[in-house]
Formats: sequence, structure tokens, C-alpha cells
Amino acid sequence: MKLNRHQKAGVVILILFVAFVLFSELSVSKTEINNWENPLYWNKYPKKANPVWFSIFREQVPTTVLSPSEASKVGEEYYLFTYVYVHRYSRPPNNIVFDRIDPGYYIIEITRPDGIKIRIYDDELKEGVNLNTEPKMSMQIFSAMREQLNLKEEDRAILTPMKILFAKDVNFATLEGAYKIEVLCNCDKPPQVIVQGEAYGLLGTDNYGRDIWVGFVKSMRNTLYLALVTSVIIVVLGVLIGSISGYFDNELSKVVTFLLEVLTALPVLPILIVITWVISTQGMGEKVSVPPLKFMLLLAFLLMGKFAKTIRTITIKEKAKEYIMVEVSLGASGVYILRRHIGPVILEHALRHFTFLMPRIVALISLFGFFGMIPGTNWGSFMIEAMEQGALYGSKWWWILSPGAAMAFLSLGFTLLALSPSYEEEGIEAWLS
Amino acid sequence: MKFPYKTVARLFGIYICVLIIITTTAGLANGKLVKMEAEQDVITLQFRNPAFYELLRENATKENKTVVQYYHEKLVEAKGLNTNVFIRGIQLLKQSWDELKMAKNVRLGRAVLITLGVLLFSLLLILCISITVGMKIATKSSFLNFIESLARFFNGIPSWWIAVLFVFIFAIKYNIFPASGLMSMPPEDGFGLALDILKHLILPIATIVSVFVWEFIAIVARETQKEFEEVYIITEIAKGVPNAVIYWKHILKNIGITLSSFTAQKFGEMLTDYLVLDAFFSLQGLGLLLKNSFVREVIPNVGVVVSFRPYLFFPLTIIIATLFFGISLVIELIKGTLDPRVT
Repeated sequence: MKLNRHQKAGVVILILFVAFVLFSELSVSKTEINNWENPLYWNKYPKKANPVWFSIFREQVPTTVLSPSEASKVGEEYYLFTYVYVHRYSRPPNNIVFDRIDPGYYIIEITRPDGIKIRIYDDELKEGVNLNTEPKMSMQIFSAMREQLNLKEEDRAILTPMKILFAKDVNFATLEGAYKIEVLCNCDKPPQVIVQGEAYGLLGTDNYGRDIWVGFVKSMRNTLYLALVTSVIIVVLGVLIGSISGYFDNELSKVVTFLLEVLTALPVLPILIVITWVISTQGMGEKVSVPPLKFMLLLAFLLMGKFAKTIRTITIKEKAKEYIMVEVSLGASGVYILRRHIGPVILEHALRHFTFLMPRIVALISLFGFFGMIPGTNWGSFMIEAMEQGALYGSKWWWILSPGAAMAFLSLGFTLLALSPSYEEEGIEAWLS
Repeated sequence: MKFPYKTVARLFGIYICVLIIITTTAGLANGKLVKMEAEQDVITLQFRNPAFYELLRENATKENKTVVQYYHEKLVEAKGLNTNVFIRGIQLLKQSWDELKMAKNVRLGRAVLITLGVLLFSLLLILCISITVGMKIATKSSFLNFIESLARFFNGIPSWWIAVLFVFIFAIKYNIFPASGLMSMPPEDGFGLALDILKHLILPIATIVSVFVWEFIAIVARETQKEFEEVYIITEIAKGVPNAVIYWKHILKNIGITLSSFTAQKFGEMLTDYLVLDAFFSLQGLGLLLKNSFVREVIPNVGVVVSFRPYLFFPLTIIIATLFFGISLVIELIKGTLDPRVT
């Protein structure tokens, strides 16, 4: 098969798309993917953060996950872990989070670049803690910097602990340089220290602190999986039903043809929603769970009508050709003719139709996802959450644009690849399908 | 023109089958609703009325059933529900209509009018653009290929994403058109109200048109190309008949048959897309009502929870199916007037 210039471009775009999907899959961990719908998991991440590449347009303090630069044993039971954070921005970070805490006694000290050492915590810890919400930490920072920054009692309510900790002078200019964080504890493993900035990840974070990139990858995986399998089912069902009902001209084929017309006249959206709801499982106060295979079969069944009708028309046209009639008069069976002569013609059409169908199903899944009844996280539910969290009016265009841009890229690839089946070749029936 | 009895009978047959499927689906939904109600009641009784729960448990054990199964059976009996799915569907539909009549805040007639108005106006606009542009580009093959590519390209993009783009650019960034709603609040009077509604409808209509118009243009252009190859058209050109007359008298009439078939096929897709756009733009048409009949919530620690309002949902589904049937019928009749062979 020789590809023309457009089709080659289409193949390149689709290869790039597949490479993008693979890269995306590798860029996120399984734990993050599994916890996308669990807001508690994302507690430690900055909320409503911008994407990291935003720093190209204006300065953004990125979120940094620190690893201990030193670890040493102190006495029999205690360990000292040292972390170094270098701050080079004109604004302070938003928060410092101490996560993955092994329950025990903790002494946490921060040494500023100007040498001031603040003991921010000296007590038992059972779970993660952060500077903004832990009153003991904010009190320690305020007391330690009170004289240096000439702070008054009312400033405690006005200024955040981070602003005070990173303040250079009484004008609250940010003190740049290396901040040393020392954690002394009777624990077995070092806590994770996260300096939360204004930017995080490729697509920022949402109101719960969830990494939007993780949601994008999860919804892309689900949408493509559902679309691919549904398209294959539609093509297989359409070819089987269309060719058999087209070749064998009997009462049953007439009934099948009529049923196909009924399928095309069904209001797909409400029927799909309600049957999906019927097959879903949802206990009291439990989340809705839809079995993906049942959903795909249902969607394929509802959408295959037009395609099966087209295959039927092609089969009838082929059957009327002279060489087929000669084969029949020579005693060839219907199954043989379908497999040997008509099969290749309809399979070629089916293959072309697949390139049309796949992006259409991706679009439809995101359309149906708008009503929240598509299994798992998909581009539709991803967009719904973006809208519900005010991404559109909050000008978080990267959140809204990302799934649409991916769909447009996929559609463009298939468009270029399938450019050759022309109107003259396939006629009105193919266009109608 | 002879009345197309056969076609109308076929369409009626299809419509009846669609109604049967909707009713059966309603029956299935009714069964699930009662089952869910039984499960919820049993959990509530366990805490609020332990004595009654204990009695239920004893009776259920005697009949070798679980408490939920036993309670479900009793509930089905008490509600007078039929075991036949189809009849159970009719019972739910009847109950839905009764509840819908009582619901004062649901204005179905208005929703149907808005839906039909926006859809038909969009369709009319699409037809005008496609006929004008399609006939013009019929002889320019490279341009036509580009339009066909656009048609395939837009086929893979959800219409409401286009709507999001339009709102982002024209409503939020440049504040030219309103982002949602059917009219400003408080509503204006007279001509001002009409202008205000039109202003609110520009983005939804532009979205529908921009998604579907390319396929229509391509169809018109290809059909016009075919017509130009016909001997009688070549003869007319040779005779010096003006192009405008050829287009108006012959080509438009002939492509009208294909175009009406195509419109009938595309109307279903347009209706589906419109329902989502209606909900997105809060136009108060059938889409918004349909969305409101399913309430989807994200609850932390639980996930997505869906609650269902059948009294709103099934009448809406029947109305949507009826609209589709009505439009198909009208298009078939138009086809009949355009081409007597169809009748």
C-alpha cells in the first residue's frame, strides 16, 4: 500500500501521539494514578498552583521535594537528617510540608542564609505537619524573628509564617540563599520535606492540590482504551451484521435491517445514560461504578446502526456484480462468496471507517462524560471537574485546553491518514455513515 | 405529489419500536430504583427501628432470604409493581408524567421551543452557508479537499470543547458575548429582549454551525460537481443559460434530495450535541433539564455519586425521540416534494 504525502504526515502525527501517550504513562507513578480521586492523598501538594513552565512568562516559585543531603546517627536512638533548600526568587514559597512521618519525637530546626537558627518544632509527631497550619511552628518563627523584623502582636494575624521566615528586613524583602533544615528524630526513615511554591507539575494543581497532569494522563488512558475497544467492537459487529443481512435476502435480514434503522433513530445520549446507570453499582453513599466492558458493548451496540447499514448497502451492490452471480451459478456458497469476494471490499471500507470512527468515539466519550456516566476518569469528567473548579473563569486555560488539544492532534492524524477515501469512491452512503 | 404512505408507515414503525425500547429501559430503571430504595430502607431501619428490623430478619430467615431480598419483595407488592419489565416501565412513565404535572418549576413546553428554535435556526444557517459556499467551491478541488479534511477533523472534536474555546475567547477574554444563559437579568422588553436573546444565542449557534457546516459544504460541493457532469446541464451551459438559472432551477433542486437525506441523518447527531451545549450554556432547553435529571457529585473519600430523577428523565427522553421522529417525517415529506420518485 502506497501512502501519499498527507497520509505520511498523518502516520507521523499518530506515531508522535503514541510516543506522547507512552511518555505520559512513564511520567506518573501508579500510586498517583490510583489516588487521583482521593483528595486526602494530595493534601501535601500546593493548591491551585500554576504549571512550572509558567515561569517562562513570569517568575514563579516552583515546588521542590527535598531529599536529605546528610544523615547521621546521634546516640543510640536518634537520627539527624539535613536538608538544604536554595531560594532564588523575589517571593517566598507558600508552605513547607513535613510528610511521611514515622511516629516519634522530633526536633526540627531551620537555619536561614543570614545564620539565624529557629527551632520550629520540639515535640512528638504522629503524622505529617506543615508550617501554615501548625500553631507551634508559626509561634516559634514569630518569636524568633520578632526583634529582627520589628514585629508587633497584630502582625501574627496578618503575616504568614513563610513570609516571616523568608523575610530579609523590616520591609519584608525576600532573603535569598541556602536554608538548612535539620530534623532530629527517633525514627527509622527520614521524613519527606516539600517546599511548596506557586508552581507545580506540567499542568499545575487543582483546588484539592491534585496534580492536573496525573488526571490528564489517567483520563487519556481511559478515554483511548474505551474508544479503541468500542471502535473495534462497532467495526466487527457492523461488518458481521451488515454483510450477512445484505447478502442473505430473507425475512430475517429484513427484520435486522429494520432494527438497524430503529437503532439509528434512538436518542443515544439519554438511553446510554440510563442503561449505564442501570448496569452501574452504587450503594448508599458509595461512588458509582460502571463495568467498562458492559459499557463498551452497550455503546458499540447503540452506535453501530449506521455503519452496519452502510456495510449492508456495499454488500448488496457487490452481490449484484456479474462475477458474483457467475460464482453463485457455479454453486459457490454464500459464506464462501462473503469471505472470498465481498469480504475484502467491506474490510477495506471498515478499515477506512475505523480511522473516522476512532476520533469520533473519543469525542463522543468526552461528550457523554459531561453527564458523568462514563466509567472511570475520562476526558469528559476531567473537563467537568475543570469547569466545576472554575478553570474557565479563573483563566486556567491550560487545564481546559490540554484534553481538547490532544483530541485535536489525534483527530488531525486520523484526518490526514484517511484523506484518500473520497466521495466519488465511496458515495453518499459512506458519508452518511 | 402523492402522500408517501409507505415511508410514513415505516417511520411510525421505527418510532413505535423506539418507544418500546424507552419503555423497557424505564422498566429496568424502575426495578433498580425499587431495589436501591429497599437497600437504603433496610440500612435505615437497622439503626432507627431495630425491633422492626429484627422482625424482618426473622421472617426473611424463615423464607431463606436475605433481609434486603425479603424487604424488596414486600416493597414491590406494596407499590403494586408488575413483574413484567415493559409494564413496569409503563407504570414508571405514568408516574413520571403525573409528577411532572405537579412540578411547577419544570417548563417543558418552553424547553422544547428553545431546543427546536436553536436547532432549526442553526440548521437553516448551516444549509444557507453550505449551499452558498459548496456551490462556489465545487470547481476548486484543492479547496474542496481542505473542506473535507476540516469535516473529518471536526468529527473528532467534541462540540462542547469548541464551546469552551468560544466562551474563553469571546466571553471571558474580550467580553463581546455573554458566557451563558438565555437572556440578561432582569429581562428587557420588546425588541430589546429579542436582541438580548439573539446575543445570548450567538455562541451556542456558532458552535453548532462551526462543528457541522463543513460536512454539509462538502456534500453540496460534491453533488454540484456530479450535477455539472450531467448532459442536460452541459446542454444548458452550451445554450448560454446563465449560471444563476442553472444553479437555482436544476442543481439546487437535485442536490436538495441528497441534502435532505443527509440532514435527516445528521439531525440526530446535532440533537445529541445540542443537549450538551444547552447544558453548558444554560439555555434552559431540553439539555439542561436532562442534565438536571441526573445529579453528579464528587464527594471526598467517596468519589462520584449519582442521584437519578426519573420523573424528569423519561418524559424528556420520549420528547427527544418524538422531536427526532417529527423532524425525520418533515424531511421525508420535503424529499417527496423535491423528488416525486421518492413518494
